[in-house]
Amino acid sequence: MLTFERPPVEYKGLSRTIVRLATKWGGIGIPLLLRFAWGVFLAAVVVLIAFVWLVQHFINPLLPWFVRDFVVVVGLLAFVCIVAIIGIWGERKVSGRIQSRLGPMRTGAWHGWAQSLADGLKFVQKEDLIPAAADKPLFRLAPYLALVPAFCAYLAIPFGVGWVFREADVSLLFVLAMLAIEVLGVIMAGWASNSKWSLYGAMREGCQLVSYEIPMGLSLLAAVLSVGSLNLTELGEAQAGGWFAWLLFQNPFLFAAFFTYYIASLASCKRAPFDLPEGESELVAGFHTEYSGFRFVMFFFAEYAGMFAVSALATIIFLGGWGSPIGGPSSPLWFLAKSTFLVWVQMWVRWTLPRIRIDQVMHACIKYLLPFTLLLFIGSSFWQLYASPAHPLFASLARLLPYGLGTLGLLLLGLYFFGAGYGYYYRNRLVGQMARRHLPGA
Amino acid sequence: MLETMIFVLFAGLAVVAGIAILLSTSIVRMAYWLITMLVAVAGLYFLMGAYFLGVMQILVYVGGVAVLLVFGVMLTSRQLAPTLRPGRAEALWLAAVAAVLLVGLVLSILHAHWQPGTIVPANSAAEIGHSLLGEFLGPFELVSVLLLVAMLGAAYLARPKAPTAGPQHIKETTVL
Repeated sequence: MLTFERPPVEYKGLSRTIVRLATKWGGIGIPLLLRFAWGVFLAAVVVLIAFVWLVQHFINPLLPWFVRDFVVVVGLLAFVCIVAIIGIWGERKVSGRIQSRLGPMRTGAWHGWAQSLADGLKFVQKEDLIPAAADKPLFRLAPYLALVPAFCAYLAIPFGVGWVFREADVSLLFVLAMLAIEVLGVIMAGWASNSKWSLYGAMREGCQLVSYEIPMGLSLLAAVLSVGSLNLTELGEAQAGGWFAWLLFQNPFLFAAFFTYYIASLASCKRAPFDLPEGESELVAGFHTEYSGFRFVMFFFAEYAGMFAVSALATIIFLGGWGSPIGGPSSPLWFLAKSTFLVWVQMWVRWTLPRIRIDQVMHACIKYLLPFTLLLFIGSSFWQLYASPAHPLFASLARLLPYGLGTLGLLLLGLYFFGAGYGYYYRNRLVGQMARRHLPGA
Repeated sequence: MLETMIFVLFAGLAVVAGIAILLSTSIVRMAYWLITMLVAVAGLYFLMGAYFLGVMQILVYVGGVAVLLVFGVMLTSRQLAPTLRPGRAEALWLAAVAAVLLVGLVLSILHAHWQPGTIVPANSAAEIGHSLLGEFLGPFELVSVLLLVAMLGAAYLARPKAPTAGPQHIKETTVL
């Protein structure tokens, strides 16, 4: 009789320890955590708030500057890595659910939470391949040129008042400049690989950069104009006072500018529908086709760091930054929550919309988005001009408008939550029986 | 002390990158050395407290111009790429021009009245804006006219050469 036995997988050394810990303790511990999920969640929030309070009152003012700098840089590096690790796992789960799959489920026993860690281990062990025809120094340099600027962008992003590595008058421009250098790393990778797929990816990235960069800057400029500062901390502080004080709702031009910025930022992160430089179905993997092992990981980290950075910019400039939408104290936790929401929307968009062609990207960005953002910029300037010595009629309109737009925003948010609730209530119908029955707790 | 060290670091990087631009033969390598030099100069601007200028240097030159440069080079074939070696007569002319420029630069550096001063960070964005739209409004507008002319020229050169017959032309759009 023929029996099939799955050959036992042999893990050695460090990977064995990690896999054991992940499966065994993850398998016991995580269901236990889930049983008390709400308690754990509340405890985590309390711990985070306590941590924030501790840093704000003791660690930040009392440490000498070089110790503080060192601590903050290491912390930011860890933050970028955590964003990438959770982001990659989250992306795979989100894509799975959107496509009626489960996504990673095995590693770490609970919803595949250790999948990114396992992937990281695998990547470290992979052979480090460099094609014989590649331009070797540039090929080696490219991943660093992609990852390091993406990390540098975080040096100027404030997570709250005083929660920033360096205050600068031009921190907004600094972040944009760093995100622009990241593109050079991508183009360098594509060129140095000396493969047609990579070169196509790099050329598409170049085309895309010249199309999206100006609309992106112009839509941010409309917001900068109404605050009068390029300092991200000041931009965030200008919106203190809850939902209706957010810059997004201050005038109709800014409301539109948020969406144009978001579209352009999708292109800047190479996210669908603008993921042409990667274009898995056409270009194998685009600019990083020839990369393997850890260099490949660095491109991935750069992408997720960039995603969070552009979401953080949108949060600070349009969505009130670290201010609470419901009143109450502002906190870096609000900033994290809003940015994470925007990152999730990026994933949602990616797995919902099909990819468009490069000529369509350029057409959309240069022929439609650019004139539209110019119009928004001019409109916003005129709004500023009329708002300062305002005609009484205009003044009352300007005072009422944030409430109208804010209500529109509330409606949109309500629609989103209604959709999510509807989907959850009819989850059997939407996800399908098979996927549903395999979920834990079914 | 620290400032001198950082200055030497960035200035040395700029000089090394500048020499490397001259010595490398591949255009793409040249472009990347150029980017290195521009970033080093931006670092010098940062050191002098001109944050706005430094950031603009990175944003415009590195993020815009250099990307276009590399992009343009990538469109040319790698096999057909010219090896950039000047001929003998060219080299003579170039040496003459370079010597004149060098002498002029050295003389102007020697004759400048250098005065040591402290670095004062300025609210540079606002000041640059005020002087551009106040004192230097004329030159500013002239430059924008120049850019417009350059753009028109580029559009004229890049126009479709032969008159094409309507819809057939659209199908020929290159899809990268």
